Amino acid sequence: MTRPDDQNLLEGLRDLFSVLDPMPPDLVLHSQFAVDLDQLDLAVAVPAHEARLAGVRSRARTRLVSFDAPAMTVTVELRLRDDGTTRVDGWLTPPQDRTVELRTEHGSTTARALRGRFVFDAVVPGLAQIQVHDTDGGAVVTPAIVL
Amino acid sequence: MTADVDPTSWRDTAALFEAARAGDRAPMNELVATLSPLLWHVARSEGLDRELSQDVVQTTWLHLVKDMHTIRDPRAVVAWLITTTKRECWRVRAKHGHESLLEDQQVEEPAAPDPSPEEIVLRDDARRRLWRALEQLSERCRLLLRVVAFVPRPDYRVLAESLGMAKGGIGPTRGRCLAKLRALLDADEEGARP
Repeated sequence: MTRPDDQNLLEGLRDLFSVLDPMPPDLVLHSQFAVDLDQLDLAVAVPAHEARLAGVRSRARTRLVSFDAPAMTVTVELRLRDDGTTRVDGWLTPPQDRTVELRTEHGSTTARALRGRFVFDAVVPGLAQIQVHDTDGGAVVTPAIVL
Repeated sequence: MTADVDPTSWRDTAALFEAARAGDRAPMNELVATLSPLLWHVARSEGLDRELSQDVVQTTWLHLVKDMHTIRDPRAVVAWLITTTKRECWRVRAKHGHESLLEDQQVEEPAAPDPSPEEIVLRDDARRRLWRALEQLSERCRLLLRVVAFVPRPDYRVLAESLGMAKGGIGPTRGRCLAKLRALLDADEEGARP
């Protein structure tokens, strides 16, 4: 059973670790965005070795990041344009024809991947997520990407 | 200065999960807000750096959406999330090797909080004493308490396996670790008296 002084001690520990090693404030928002899906039949694409979401989070003008799902790798080059929008050039490996959806806080746009290549030309800054749809209603889904 | 998570606001995670599974967005968002700090500290306790820990927490939530209909007992959702976070940490570690690990286990000086100066001194002193006491605990106790401190209370009972404890052992182990910590704190206080 939990004694009242146990609760105080646990509160103290929570306080201590929240100060010493605080969870990044954006993590909850990013996670909430990532799971805000109509898509339930999904395969999770995880940030790949070379990529790390650092690339996804950083503000460099050009970033190359990739995500590994069980059956494919999604690689995107993100190029910040002078007007503040981002051009997204993507590759699916292995190459295949698919419908690719780019979901942002402002809505979704789709592009056709031909032999694995797809482009979103001028994406506004903010959170984005890539969904690669198959013909059976399933999709490969990335975490939130900061554009 | 209080912790980011207010324990009194913790609702029944099983109820939140059931509502989220039925397709409601608000309970899903609340579940993410309530339990992300726990998953963050699980990932950090597994030794991942801050950047990879963020990736792991986000990936774990996506896995929950993918697998939510395979979780038979909604009361198991916290245990399921902890187990999945740990598995993601192992996967990341296997892939990234040492680069993913914390180079420096040293803890930074506590950031300066904002309330009254006296309170700050007292609180900081309390934190420092707590940290000193923690350092004298076994690593197993230290990591267990760090994670347990962020677990919503009603969820203790179903956590045995996900925290690597023998079934039913979490309560006693947690109790023993807390008792040791309290004894160390008391001894420290005795020693500090003139």
